[in-house]
Amino acid sequence: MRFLVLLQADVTHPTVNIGGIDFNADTIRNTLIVCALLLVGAFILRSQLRVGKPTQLQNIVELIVEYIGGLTEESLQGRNLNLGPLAITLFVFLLVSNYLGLIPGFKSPTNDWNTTLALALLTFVLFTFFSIRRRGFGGYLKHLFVVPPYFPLSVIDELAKPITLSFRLYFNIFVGELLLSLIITLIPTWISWLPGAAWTLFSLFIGTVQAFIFTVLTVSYVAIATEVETAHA
Amino acid sequence: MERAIVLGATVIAFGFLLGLSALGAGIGDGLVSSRTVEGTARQPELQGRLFFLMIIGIGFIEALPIIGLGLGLFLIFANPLLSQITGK
Repeated sequence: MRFLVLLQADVTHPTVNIGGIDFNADTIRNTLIVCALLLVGAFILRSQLRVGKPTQLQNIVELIVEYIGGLTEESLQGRNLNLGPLAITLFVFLLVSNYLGLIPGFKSPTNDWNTTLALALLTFVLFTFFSIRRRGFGGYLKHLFVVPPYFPLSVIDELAKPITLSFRLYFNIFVGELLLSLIITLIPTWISWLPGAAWTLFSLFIGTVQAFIFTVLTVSYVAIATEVETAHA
Repeated sequence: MERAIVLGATVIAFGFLLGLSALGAGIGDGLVSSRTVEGTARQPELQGRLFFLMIIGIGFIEALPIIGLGLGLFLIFANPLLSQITGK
């Protein structure tokens, strides 16, 4: 019975009602904590920027910028889109927010479907808008009819992209945190540090992988949506 | 009486959900990992790149059982079908 009470405390979010809509207060607070961490990190990084002997933070950021920026450039060759900064921001935000829940006393903002759905809708609007801009509105509708009897499947395919994107990230992080709190509550303290530590390390890995998958899929969806078959002479 | 049927059916459904999704994920992960090992055996210098692609593939595959687990936990602890039978 106590287990169910503790489970409920971990699963439900305290809400605050502003103007008739319920907001999850703790998710908003955690998102702001992540933003504050990123801003402080950015200012520290900028004040320590060096060319010859980079600091550790500068090394990590350079690694991320080069790698994700390179991937984005490669996927969107010659399409004049400059999604590099968006992809890097998305990756760094998701990385820090996935890690935040592993610090005792904090919870990730991504353990709420609202956060991941918002980011997935961002991706949806992004690739739909770029697709319409590249192909024209008629062209966008025409690509849904590429195999005419399968028009509903084509529409579902377009809609399934943000839905699966949001669910993948949400459930990975949420179930990870849920299992961590279950380990802490159900296993006696004198031994719970062992599976707790193992699961935290695994959650670090999963957090990194899922942040990267979200970013790579965003860039890939935009790349798929903006490819135009050119007639080869 | 209906409550017992709904609860029993939910538990059975949860079992199927976890079992089948774990089966599918296991087979998928195994295929991806075996191809990676095969590719590394052919060209050992590509080990880093292939390992990286394997990790991405496993990230995709493992998403589905975890989605299943999340929905299953939702069904067990906050069953939406129970409100339908008490509503009648």
